Amino acid sequence: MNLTLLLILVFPLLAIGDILIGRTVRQGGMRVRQTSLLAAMANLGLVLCVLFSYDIARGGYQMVFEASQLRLPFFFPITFALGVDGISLAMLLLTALVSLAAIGASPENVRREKEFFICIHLISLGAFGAFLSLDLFFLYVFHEVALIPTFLMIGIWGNQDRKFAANQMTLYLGGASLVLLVGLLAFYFALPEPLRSLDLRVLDANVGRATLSPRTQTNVFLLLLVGFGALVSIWPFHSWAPKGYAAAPAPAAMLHAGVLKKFGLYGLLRLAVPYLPDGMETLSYFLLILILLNVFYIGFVTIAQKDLTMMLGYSSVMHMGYLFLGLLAATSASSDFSSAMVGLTGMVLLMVGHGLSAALLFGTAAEVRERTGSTLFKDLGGLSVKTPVLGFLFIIGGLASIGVPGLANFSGEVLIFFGTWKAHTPFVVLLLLGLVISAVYMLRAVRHTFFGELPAGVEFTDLPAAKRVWPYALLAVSLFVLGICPAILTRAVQPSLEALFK
Amino acid sequence: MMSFLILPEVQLTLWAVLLLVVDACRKNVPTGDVTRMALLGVALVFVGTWLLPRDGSVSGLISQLYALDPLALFFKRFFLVATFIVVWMAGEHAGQLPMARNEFLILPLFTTVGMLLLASARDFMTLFVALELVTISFYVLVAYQRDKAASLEAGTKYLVIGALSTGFLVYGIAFLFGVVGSTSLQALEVHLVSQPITPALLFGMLLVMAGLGFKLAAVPFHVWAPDVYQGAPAPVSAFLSVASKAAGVVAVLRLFAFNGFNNEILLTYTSTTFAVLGAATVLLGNLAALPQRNIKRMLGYSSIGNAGFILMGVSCLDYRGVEAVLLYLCVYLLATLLAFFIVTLLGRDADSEDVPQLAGLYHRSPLLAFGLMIALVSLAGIPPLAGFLGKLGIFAAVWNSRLQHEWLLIPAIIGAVAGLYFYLGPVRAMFWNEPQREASLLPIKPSSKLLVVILAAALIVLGFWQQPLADVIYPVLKRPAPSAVQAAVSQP
Repeated sequence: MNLTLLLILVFPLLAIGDILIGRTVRQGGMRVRQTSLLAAMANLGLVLCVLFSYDIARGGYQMVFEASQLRLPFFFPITFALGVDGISLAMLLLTALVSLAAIGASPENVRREKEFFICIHLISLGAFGAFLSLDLFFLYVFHEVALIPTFLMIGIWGNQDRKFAANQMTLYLGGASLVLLVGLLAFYFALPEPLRSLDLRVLDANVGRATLSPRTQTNVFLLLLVGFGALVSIWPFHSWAPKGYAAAPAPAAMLHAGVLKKFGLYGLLRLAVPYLPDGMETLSYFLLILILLNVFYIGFVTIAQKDLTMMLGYSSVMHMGYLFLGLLAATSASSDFSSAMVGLTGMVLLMVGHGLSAALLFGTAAEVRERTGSTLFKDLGGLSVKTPVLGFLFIIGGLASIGVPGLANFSGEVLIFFGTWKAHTPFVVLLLLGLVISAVYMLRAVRHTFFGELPAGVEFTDLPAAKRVWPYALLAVSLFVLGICPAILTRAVQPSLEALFK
Repeated sequence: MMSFLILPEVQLTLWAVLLLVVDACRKNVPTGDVTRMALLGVALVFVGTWLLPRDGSVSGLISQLYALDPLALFFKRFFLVATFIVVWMAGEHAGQLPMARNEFLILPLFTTVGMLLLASARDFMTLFVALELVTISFYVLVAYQRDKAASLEAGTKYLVIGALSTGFLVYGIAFLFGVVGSTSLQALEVHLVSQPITPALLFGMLLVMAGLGFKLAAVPFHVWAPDVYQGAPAPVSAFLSVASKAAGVVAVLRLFAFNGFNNEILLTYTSTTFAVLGAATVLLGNLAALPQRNIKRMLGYSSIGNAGFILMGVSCLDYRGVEAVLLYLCVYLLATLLAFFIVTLLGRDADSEDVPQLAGLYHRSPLLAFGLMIALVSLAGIPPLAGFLGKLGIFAAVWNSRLQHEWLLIPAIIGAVAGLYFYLGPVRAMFWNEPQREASLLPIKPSSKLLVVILAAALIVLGFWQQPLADVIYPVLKRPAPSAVQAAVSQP
C-alpha cells in the first residue's frame, strides 16, 4: 500500500480545509493565497518525485493505492484504486504545473477570495483524480468534480456574457458526460460476463484487441467518440469552448483549456486504443473528416475573430484536430508498429505541450484584459512598448502553439505527422497546410495586441516584478525544457504506450 | 410470536396515541417537547426493527396477510428515517401554524404506521387498508395551514384525485379477485405463473397500476403533484415526495417486479407499460420544471421526474432493476429531505418561496446555500455526489435489461440535461446574484445546523464510499422474494 498518490489528492483537500477554517481564525487576504500556493507546490514536488521514481524497466501501473469499494450483487464492482504509468505521469505533470501557475496567476484582491481558491482547488483535484484513477468509475467521477466549480467560477468571476457562457458550458459538458456514461456502460456490458470489470488493470490483463466483435467495437467507439469528443470539443461539438473560455476567469480557463480538456483524449487513449482497434479502424475516415473540419473550418473561424480570448478559445479547439490525428496513428499498429508508437508518443507530448501553451496564452490574455479593460483587437495595440515582459511571455505561448521548433508542441506535432504519414499521406499533407492557418491568426493576434499603434488614453504598467511573472515563466520554461528534452516524458510514456498493444 | 411481527406498527401507534392523549389532557404542552418525544418514538421504533425475527418466517393466518421479508424491513427502516427527518422539519415549521401545532407533529406518525404496514402487505386487503391510512392522514396534513388559500386548494385537489385513484385501485382489486378467486398476493403470483393470461386480469392489473401511479406521481396521474407540493406546508411536501412515493414503490415492487418473472407475455406487457410511463414521466417532470419560479413547485416537478427514473428501473423487472431502484430511493431520500429541510428553514423569514428570493443567500447564510446546492446537484445526478449512483444504477439496469429497452436512455438523457438546468437555477440565484435584502436570517438552532451538515456530508461521502449503501440494500437482493412462489408451483 503506497500512500504517495493519495497524498496528491489530499493536499488540495487540506488547502480547502484550511481556507474554510481560516474564516474564523485568521482574516486577511494573503493567507488564502499562500496556503493555496503551498498546496500546489507540494503537489508539483510530489509529482516530480513520482516521475523520477517511476521504474521504467518494470513498467505498468506503479505505486498503486487500493481501497476496496462497492460490492453489490448486480452492480458494478467499484474499486477506489490509484496508480500511475507513463501516460498518466505525463498528464499529472501537466496538471501540477498548470494548477500551480493558475493559482499564481489568480488576480490579487479578487472578490470573495476564499470561494475563488476553493473552486480552483476543486477543479485541480478533479483533474488529478481523473488521471490517477485506475477504475473507470472514479475516472469519470473525478472528471465531473470540476463541473460545478467551473460553473460557479464563470458565473461569479467571469466576464463578458458570463451567465450565458456558464450555462451553455455546463449543460453541454453535462450532456456530453451522460453520452459518455452510456458509452462506458455499452463498453462494460459488451464484454463477456466473466471479463467484465471497470478496473483498468483487470481489463489490461483479460481483455484483448479482439475480445469484442468488430461491429460492437464500432458502436462502442462511436458512443465514446461523441462523449469524450464533446469534452475535447471536436467539431461539431465545440461551440461551448470558445465562449466558455472567453468568459471564464483566468485560472478557470487555464485549468480547463490546459488540463481538463485533455481528459477526453486520455480516456480514448486508455479505452479505444487497446480494446476497440477495429472500431477505430472502421471509423478512421469519419474521424479524419471531423479532424479536417476541426482544423480548417475552425481555423478560418479563428482567423475571423475580433476578440483575443475568443480567438484563443477557437485556436485551442482547432489544435484538438492534431491531437485526434495522433490518436489515429494507433490504427496502423498492426501493419506498422513503430509508426503507431511514434504517432501516439507525439500525441501525449502535444497534449502536455498544448496544455502548457494554452494555459500560458489564457493567463497572459487575462493580464492584458486586466490592464486595458478589453480584449477586442480594435482596442488593443502596441502593448509591448509598455509591457515587454508580458508581450514576451505571450509570444512564447503563441509560438509554442503554432509549433515553432524548440518548444514542446513542435516535438509533439512532428512525431504525430511522422506517425501518420504512411497511413494517411494526403490528409497529413492537408493538415500540414493547416498549420499555416494557425500561424496566420496567432501572428495577427500578436501584431494587433503587442505591436502597432498604442491606443490613445490607455494607462497601464507591466507585470509588477517577479511576483506576477513567475507563474507564466514557469509555463514558458516548461515549454522550453520539454521542447529541448522531450525524453523526460517520452522515456516513461513510450513503454506504457507499447503496453497498450499487448 | 405474532405480536413480535407487527411490533413496529403497534409500538408507533401506541406512542402516537399516548402523545395525543397527553397533549389533550395537559394545557400548553410546548411544541419543542412534543417534537422531541415524537422523534424519540420514531428512533425507538427504528432501533426496534433490529429485534424483529431475523429469519422472517411467519406461519399461520397472518402469513397470508403480512410478510416480514428483507424487502419489508428495508422499507420499514426507510420510512422511519424519512419520518424522523420530516418530524424534525415539522418542529421547525410549527411556529408558522395558526393552531393545533402539536397535532401537526403527531399526525405524521400515523401516516408512518400506514407505511410500515404497507411495506409488509401481502394481501390486497392489507395493502388497501394501509394505503388508505397513509392517504387519509395526508388529506389532513396537506390542508393543515387552513388560513392559507393555497393550502386549502392543495388539500381539496389531493382529496379529489386521491379518492379517484382509490376508486381505480379498488376496481382493479375487484377484477383481480374475480380472476384469481383470492385477494392474497401469493395466490395472484401462483395464478400468474400457472394460468393463462386473460384480458380481465390484465385490465385489473392496469387499474391497480393506475391507483399506485397516483402515489408515485407518475404521468398521467401526476396532475395533483405540483399544486399540492406548492400549497402544502414544506415538511408535508417533503413527506409526500419521499415517503409517500416510496410507499408507491414498495407496492409496485411487490406486485410487479417480483412477479411474472417466468411469464413472457405478462413480462412484456408490464415492462412496456412501465417503460412508457417512465419515459413520459421523466420528460414531463424535467421539462415542465424548467419555467418554474416557486421552489416548492419546482421540487414537485423534480419529484415527478425522479418517479420517472424509478419507473424506468422498475420496467427492467429484474434484480438489477430492483437494486437500482432501491439505490435510487436511498440517495433520493437524503437529497430531497435536505432540500426541503432548507426550504423549511428559509420559509420562516421569507415572504415568498420564489427562486429570486434566494438571491445572494450565500452572503446571508453560507451553510444553507451550500447545503441546498449539494442537495440540488445531487438530485441532478452529477458526480461526485451520491445522486449520481442512483442515475448510474438506473442507466446500467436499463442498458443491460433483457427486455431491449435501450431507447429509454434517450428520454433519460434529455430529462437529465433539462434537470441539470433547472436544478442549477437556485444555485445561480444563491451564488451569482447579490442579496436583495441585507437582513440576516433568523437564527437557526445548532441541532438543525448539525442535521444539514450531516445530510450534506452524507451526500458527498456516499459519492466516493458507497459500501454503507450496499450494506443496506444487500439483504433485499440476497434472498429472492419469489422463492415462496416457486415452492408453491413445484408442489402440484
